[in-house]
Amino acid sequence: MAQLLDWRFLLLFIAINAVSSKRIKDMIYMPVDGVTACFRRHNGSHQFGCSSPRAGSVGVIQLVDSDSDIKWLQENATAGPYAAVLPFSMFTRDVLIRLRNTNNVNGILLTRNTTIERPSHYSPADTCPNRYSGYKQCDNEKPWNPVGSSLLLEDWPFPIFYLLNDTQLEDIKKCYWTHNAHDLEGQSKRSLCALELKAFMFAAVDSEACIRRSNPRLTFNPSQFCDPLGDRNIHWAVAPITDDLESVILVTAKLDSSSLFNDLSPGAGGAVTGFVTLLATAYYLNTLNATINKTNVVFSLLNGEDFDYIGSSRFVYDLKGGNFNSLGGKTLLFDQISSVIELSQLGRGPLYLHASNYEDNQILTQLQAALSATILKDSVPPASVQSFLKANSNLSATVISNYKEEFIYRYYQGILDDGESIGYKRNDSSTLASHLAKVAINLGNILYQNITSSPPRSTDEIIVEELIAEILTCYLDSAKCDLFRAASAPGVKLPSNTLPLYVGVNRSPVPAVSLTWQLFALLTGEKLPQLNSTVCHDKRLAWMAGINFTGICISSSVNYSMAVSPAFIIEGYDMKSGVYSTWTESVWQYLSVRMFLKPSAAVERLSMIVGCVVASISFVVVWFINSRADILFGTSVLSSVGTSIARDTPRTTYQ
Amino acid sequence: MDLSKVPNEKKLNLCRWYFRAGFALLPFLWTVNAIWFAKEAFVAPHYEEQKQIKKYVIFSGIGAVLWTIALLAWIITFQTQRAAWGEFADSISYIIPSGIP
Repeated sequence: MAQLLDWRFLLLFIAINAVSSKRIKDMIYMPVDGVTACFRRHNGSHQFGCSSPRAGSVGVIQLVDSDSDIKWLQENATAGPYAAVLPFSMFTRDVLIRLRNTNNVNGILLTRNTTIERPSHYSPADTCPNRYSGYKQCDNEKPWNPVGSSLLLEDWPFPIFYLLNDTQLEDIKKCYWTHNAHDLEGQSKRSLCALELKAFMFAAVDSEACIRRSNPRLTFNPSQFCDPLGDRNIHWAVAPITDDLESVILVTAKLDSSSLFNDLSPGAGGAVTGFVTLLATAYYLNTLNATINKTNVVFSLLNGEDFDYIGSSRFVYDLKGGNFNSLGGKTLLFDQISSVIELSQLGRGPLYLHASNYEDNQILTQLQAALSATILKDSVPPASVQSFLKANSNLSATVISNYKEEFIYRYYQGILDDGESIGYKRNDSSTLASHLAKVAINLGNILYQNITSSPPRSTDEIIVEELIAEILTCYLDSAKCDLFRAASAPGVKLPSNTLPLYVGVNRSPVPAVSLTWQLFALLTGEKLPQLNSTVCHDKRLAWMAGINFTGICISSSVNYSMAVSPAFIIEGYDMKSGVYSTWTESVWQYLSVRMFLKPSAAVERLSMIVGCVVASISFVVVWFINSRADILFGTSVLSSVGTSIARDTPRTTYQ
Repeated sequence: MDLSKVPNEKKLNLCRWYFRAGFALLPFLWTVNAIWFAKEAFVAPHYEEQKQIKKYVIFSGIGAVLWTIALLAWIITFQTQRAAWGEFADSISYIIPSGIP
């Protein structure tokens, strides 16, 4: 009876297994989710970033926590190639170069323990950002970004991934401690825990080559290798541009940031503080309700500035060519711009005005007095004004910033350029917002005074501060915030993470830019409560949720302009000339990481040999059986006669 | 086709036409001709058309060898120099490999 039962259980077991089948792939590999990858970018002459081979690169896991681990990889490691798992403290240029030079490292997985204090500085940008495209050369002895490691400007021969998921890091560490960590000399003799990193990049060489190769050709396999970087600039004029306009004061800020990793570029200190102040200034100036006479004010958020000033160079190119008509369809010309004021990195502490050609400019003296700032004569930091000064070196240009001769911010660009790094805390009526509000209100007042020639009315300054605090929440904490909700169509789902500010490629619009446009429109547009959503859509106006989320029609003159480098629209442009930005981003298909147990070399060899032996034996057996088919299978006489007749037929034809 | 069953003049005809067709930039036809008729040309007992067949076989063989040398030289040059030639190499490529220069 017992036997019978067992038998039935066995059947049941087999049946269950057959039904709930698990794929062999899933039994071998453990996918590592929650990773972002380093990818490849090009400019006119070089390639930067990372790529793996097409099939991915496989490396034995090695935790690199200290200098001795690197030494071990350099000298004693035998079971290579390795995949180095680095904590954030080890993610420095020096370590990466050493690992690269071992020629025994096949990939890097960067991890970060959020509970451990962040490093004192981390900036993957150049010490002189946009070194080759500026108007004023950066001094190598006194660079703007002294802590810059230039990790972004290096061509890494292996893939680099950043793991954000703590539980998966634990899994990887557990696998490492179980299989790899003991008996390091004998590693090559046993199965080891390994990572497979897939980040194959299609483009190669430089922008010129990959754009040329992406162009449709006379082939049946047209393929895309890379795309130009670019997105959209956002512009808003305080009053409509009229024909009797004499001059324009341009207020700009950069909208983008960048990092080594896909989808992670918070840009808090590098971009958010500046453009949030710009938004608040625009809002404030709008509430003052200025009557414009001869001078107008245009606010411009410029995109792609981290990649050789894409946005500003295109803006200047369009202005000079008479092709800039994003403001109400009227053409704005470069010569109409009387001065440029740029809002760069801002924050607590003293303010500096980097000014060029300001001698007869009263805005600057007023700004200096109001902000109690220091004027730095002829200082041109790496900012959008470089593009304007390049086009006209006599233009009055001012950059308002919290740095003097070098950035005081230690996390310029990169994944740590977030709210925490600029000392932002949610629900904290932080001093940051009040500092930014001070700049916004003073700048707004001075602009008002200059365009209307009358002193501004006193307004409730606390509103501006509250607004800034709310906007900061949207960009630094979570995009699921009240202001973004109010600025979107009712019922739109917003992501709960912070929006990446990387400019991206020109054919896919960046959500952060769209949301910023919407927010700008909400803050400065005219509210038309009498219109319902259908009429609003018919009139091509923006239908938004509004402050109380019930839906409101907004008539706004905030507009986009293209932020794609002129290099890609000028016919026959020489990509190596260095005049305009030539940055492109490679196309890729997969970015993935898997962990598995890699058998030792001996076992791999054995599998290969056994496979070969089995294959050769099977040939012999088949040949043998075939030659003895008559005996083995006792084939009927008929069929063999049949074949012999068939064989004989051609003979008779030829004889 | 079993050549041993083919009449001699037909063999010669075949061999001749394979040789002529090879001039239409078909080196493989010459290769096939040279290998296929080699036995007939050099091993088989003497017959009238054999001399002519031999001629065609030899010339086909020479042609095939020349083609092989030329093709090999081009393939080696192109594969090793493609990246260095840049734009010109891309313009004469049918398939451009991704991810490498």
